Amino acid sequence: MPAKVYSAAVIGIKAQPIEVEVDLGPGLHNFNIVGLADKAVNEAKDRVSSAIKNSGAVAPSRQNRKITVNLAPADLKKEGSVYDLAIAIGYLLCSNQIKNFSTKNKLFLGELALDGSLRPVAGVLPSVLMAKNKFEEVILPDKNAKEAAVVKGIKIIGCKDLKEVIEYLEGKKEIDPILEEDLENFIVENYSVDFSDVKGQKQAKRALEIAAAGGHNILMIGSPGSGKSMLAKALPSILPKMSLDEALEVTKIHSVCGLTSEDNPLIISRPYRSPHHTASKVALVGGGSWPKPG
Amino acid sequence: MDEFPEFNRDVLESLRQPLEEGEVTISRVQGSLTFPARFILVAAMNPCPCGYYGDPEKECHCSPGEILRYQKKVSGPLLDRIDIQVELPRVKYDDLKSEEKSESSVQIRERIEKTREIQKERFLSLNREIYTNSEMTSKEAEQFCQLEKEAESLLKKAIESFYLSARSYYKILKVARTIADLDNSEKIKSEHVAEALHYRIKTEN
Repeated sequence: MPAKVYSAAVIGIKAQPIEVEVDLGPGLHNFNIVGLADKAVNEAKDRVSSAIKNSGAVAPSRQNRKITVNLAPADLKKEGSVYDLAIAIGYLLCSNQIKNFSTKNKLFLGELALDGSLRPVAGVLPSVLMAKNKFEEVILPDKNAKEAAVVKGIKIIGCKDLKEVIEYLEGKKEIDPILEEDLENFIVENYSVDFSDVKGQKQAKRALEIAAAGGHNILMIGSPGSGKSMLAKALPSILPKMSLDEALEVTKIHSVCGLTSEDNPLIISRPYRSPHHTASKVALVGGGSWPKPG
Repeated sequence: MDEFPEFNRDVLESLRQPLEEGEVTISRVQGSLTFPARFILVAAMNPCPCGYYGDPEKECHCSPGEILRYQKKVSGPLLDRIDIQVELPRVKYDDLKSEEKSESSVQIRERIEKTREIQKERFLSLNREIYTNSEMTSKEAEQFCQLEKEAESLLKKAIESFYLSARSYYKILKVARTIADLDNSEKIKSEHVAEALHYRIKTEN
C-alpha cells in the first residue's frame, strides 16, 4: 500500500495541497519521482537518501526495491526543494521504518540537507495560510517557524532535522508548537527622511498628504534640487501603519520571493520601492517563464 | 519612480493595468497569473531635459522640440491615470535658511490616520474590502461623493471648459472626497473641488 503524506505547492502567491505518494515494489533498485517534477524536485532522491541514512534509518539506496514517488495532482508542475521532507517521511512509512501515525492532518514542508538537517524554504506563509482550514499541524524547518507563527489557529512544529521529525511523529519527543505571534511584536519603523527635513515646498507637501490620505497617485514636476526625491523618500513616514491583513498580503509576496528571513518574518512597515530607471519591465511588474512577482 | 520619463516606454506602459485595476496579470506559455498590485505611485520628473523650464531665475537651454519630446515620453493615457500632479518651484534661500519649524511627519500622519478612519467607516457597507478613496469604482464614487450645489456647478463648468473625460471626472471627484475628508467635511464643498482640479493642470491643458 502506498504511503500518502501531504505537502504544499505555491503558485503565484497562493498555495495548494500536494499529495506525496510513496510506493515500494519488487524489482531492481530504482527511485523515480513522477508528477511533472522539475530538476530540483528530482534531485530530492539524493538528498532524501543521504538524509535518511544519516538519521539512523535505512536509506532507499540500501534496499533492493523499486521506489515510486508521485506528487499529485500529476498535471501540475512541481518546483523546488520543499517536498524533500514529505518524500522522506513517505518513504519511511511505506518501508515500515516509522510507526504509523495520522498523516491526514499534517502538512510537511522543508528541504533536507545531506546530513539530515532541515533547511528553510520560501513560500512558507502562503502554504501555512492555506493549511489553516485543511490541516491541524504543519511540520517545517525551525528557521521557518517564526514566519509561520503569524498564522493563528494551526499548530506549527519547527524541527531542526529529520531525526527530530521522526522522534516527534513516533511520540518519542515532545515539541511545543511555536507560540502564535502578535503583529505588534514586529513593528519596525525606520524612515530615513522626515517631512520636517525638507524646507519649504508647502504645496508639494500638501499634495503628498492628500495622496497618502486617499491612496492617490502623484507626479511631482520640478527642477533639479527642488526636493522631489527627498519628499518621495519621506512619504512612507506619513503613511498609516498597515493592518494585519495588509501586512499578511505583503509578507506573502515577500515569502514567495524568498525575501522573508528568520529575523524578519513579517513585513510590518509599508514597502517602499525606488527602481532605477534602467529597470526592465519584468523586474518591475513580474514575469519569468514561471510567473513570479516583480 | 524618479526620473519618470527616463524609464523605458514599455516599462511605463506596463504600469497602466496596475494603476487602473490594482493588479497585474502576467500571461506566459506556462499559464497566466494575477498578482495584487495596490500601491501609491510617486513619480518625479524635471519639466524638460535640462530641468529649468519655467524656472524664474535659471534659463532653460532646451529647444521647444526637445521640451515637447521629453514631455511626450509620459504618454497621455499614462498621465491621465495619475490623480495628482504638482509643480515644485525652486526653494528660495530665505525658506532654506528659515528657522521656522516645518511640520514633522508624525503630525501629518495623525491627520492621515484620522482620514483613513473616516474612509474605513465609509466602506464598511461594501461587499468588498477597500481602504482608500482611490480604490472606489465609479459607481461607488457616485454613491459616496456627495457634492454641495456650488461644488457641483464648479465641476460641471470644468468638465465643459476643459472637455474632461469620464475618467478625469471620477478621479477629480475622488481626490475632492479625500480633500473634504482631511477637512472633516461630510459633503464636498467647492473649495475641495477647486483644489482637486488644481492638481490636474498638466493633463487638461
